[in-house]
Amino acid sequence: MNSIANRAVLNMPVIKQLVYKDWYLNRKLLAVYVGGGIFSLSIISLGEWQFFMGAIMFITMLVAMGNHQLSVTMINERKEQTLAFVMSLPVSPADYAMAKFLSNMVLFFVPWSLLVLATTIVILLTPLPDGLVAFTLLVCVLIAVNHCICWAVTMATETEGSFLLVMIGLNCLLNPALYLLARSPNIGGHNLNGDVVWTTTATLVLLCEILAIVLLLVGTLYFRSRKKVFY
Amino acid sequence: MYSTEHSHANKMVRPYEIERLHYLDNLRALAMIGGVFFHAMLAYSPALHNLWLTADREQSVFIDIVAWFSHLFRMPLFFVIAGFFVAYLVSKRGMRGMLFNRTKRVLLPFIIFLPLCLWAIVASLMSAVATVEYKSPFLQMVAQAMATPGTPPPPFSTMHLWFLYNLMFFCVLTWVFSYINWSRLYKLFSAIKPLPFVLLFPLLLIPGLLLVESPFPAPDKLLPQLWAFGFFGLFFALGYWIFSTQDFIDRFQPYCIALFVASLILYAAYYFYIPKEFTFPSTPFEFPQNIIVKLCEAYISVWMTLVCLVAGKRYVNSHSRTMRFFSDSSYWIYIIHLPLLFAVQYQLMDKDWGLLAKYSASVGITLLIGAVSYLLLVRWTPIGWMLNGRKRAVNKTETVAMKQ
Repeated sequence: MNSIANRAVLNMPVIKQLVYKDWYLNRKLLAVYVGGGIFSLSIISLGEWQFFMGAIMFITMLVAMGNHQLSVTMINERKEQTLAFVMSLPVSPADYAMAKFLSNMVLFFVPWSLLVLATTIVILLTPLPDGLVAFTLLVCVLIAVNHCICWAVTMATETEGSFLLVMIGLNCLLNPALYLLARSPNIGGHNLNGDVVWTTTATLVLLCEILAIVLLLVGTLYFRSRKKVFY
Repeated sequence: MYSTEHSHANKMVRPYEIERLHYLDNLRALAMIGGVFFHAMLAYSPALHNLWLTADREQSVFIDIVAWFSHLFRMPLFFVIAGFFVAYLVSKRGMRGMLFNRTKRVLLPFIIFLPLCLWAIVASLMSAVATVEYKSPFLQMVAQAMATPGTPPPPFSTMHLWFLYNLMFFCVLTWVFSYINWSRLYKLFSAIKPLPFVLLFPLLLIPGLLLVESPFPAPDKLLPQLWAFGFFGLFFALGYWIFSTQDFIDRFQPYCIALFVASLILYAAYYFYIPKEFTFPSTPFEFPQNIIVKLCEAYISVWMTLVCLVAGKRYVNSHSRTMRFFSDSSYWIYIIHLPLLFAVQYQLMDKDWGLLAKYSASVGITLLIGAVSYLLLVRWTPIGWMLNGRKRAVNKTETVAMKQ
């Protein structure tokens, strides 16, 4: 066990299998959220209140999918004691951390990227004011930051309680963050503009968000990889 | 797009499957080429005169009667066939294989050809605004908007390629719904008698149809349209299940003529109620006309789709070089037809020809350019591989087997 734990090179074939295992376990979940996402998109164009309902539903689907897959791939692994099986494989804690990083990030960031792309295209090509682009992009990246915080906490603690606490806290804080961004004259102030307006404040907020994501992912991966044992 | 090229190579595919796939291939081609005829008709439709770019001075009510009748079942038929082939792909290549295949054959052409078609339509529109003397009301409006600075741009449209966009959503939803246990519903479906089916299935389409005006428009918006899932999506699902129910279409053979006659009678009522001149935004129907019109739409679309399937199986269930060419080229012709058709019809707007001459010329030239360009630019090139898959030579034994 120690020789595996001290190994300098990652065991990529096993990491690949662990990633596939996580994706396989999440396939039904992913299908449900993709279906929900398509449904929420399809009601957006029905009218004014349907627009808000659809948009909120779409964001909810994305956030819920991110949190749900964390619960399935990490918390359940502890609760249902399948981690013991993983420990029987020739993997080090570093391999395990890398597998969790890859599986969770791909599961979240692929649909997230599609969301960002689709939302931007919809804003630019429909009668919606193009000024919404900056605000929307910052909100989308904020959702990604929240997901990374959840992932980092779950990786660090691997307990359901802390995961739930952080998830609820972040979701409660999302609304004030949306409010602050919308009220900021340099970001939300341009929401109704006909053209895309990108200000220095928007750049600053975006850089902070990206920095937070990078620090969270790299930091968690680094500290988790240094562990000599799984528990 | 749904070429069954590979099925001939696959030794596991049984003869009855090859037989079935021929008539569905041919019906799909007819539905696609029917789109060229339909869009060409709209230029001479009195109902659409104020809303169609190439609306001509020559008009006929007869055009309206034929066009709106075909509109009720042409695309539903297409989606039934699309559902059938998706089920075929799932059974042959699995869910992942199906999604990969559809991405290659449906999503990729959509992404590549939509900007090109948009550009071609805008280019010919600009030219028409400057050169056409007898402009249509819509063309006049465009000319006026172009002359007025600050006019907001028109909403984005996926145009005639909307079916590819929607089809991709249906394929993704096929994967989503594959995790649900449908065995009970499927048992019910496979055991259903023709009469309950033709009476009950159309009722499922009513909620979707109630979300949209009549005649139902093309769901060509960038955001997916809920009504399209409830209408075209159900036809897609029907096709998907027909694949596993071998004798489903045969069950309706004795009722084919009755369904056709009943559809014509319902269409008379439907045509009576729909406006004779469409407006934008459309005026909503009052109750109970609303329900009557929706019921007519639902019943005609289902009944005529079944009639087409039965008739197709009886009359176009053969393999020939001509039909194969027709079937292979139809996807390409459909993709490029609208910019071509518009370009031709703009030229015809100032001519003093009769309606029939203008209509024949616009359809004839569009089909000719489509077929020739398919032969020269598509069939043996990467565009053809993308649309229909790579061609392989059919050996003598296979040809004999197909003919038999």
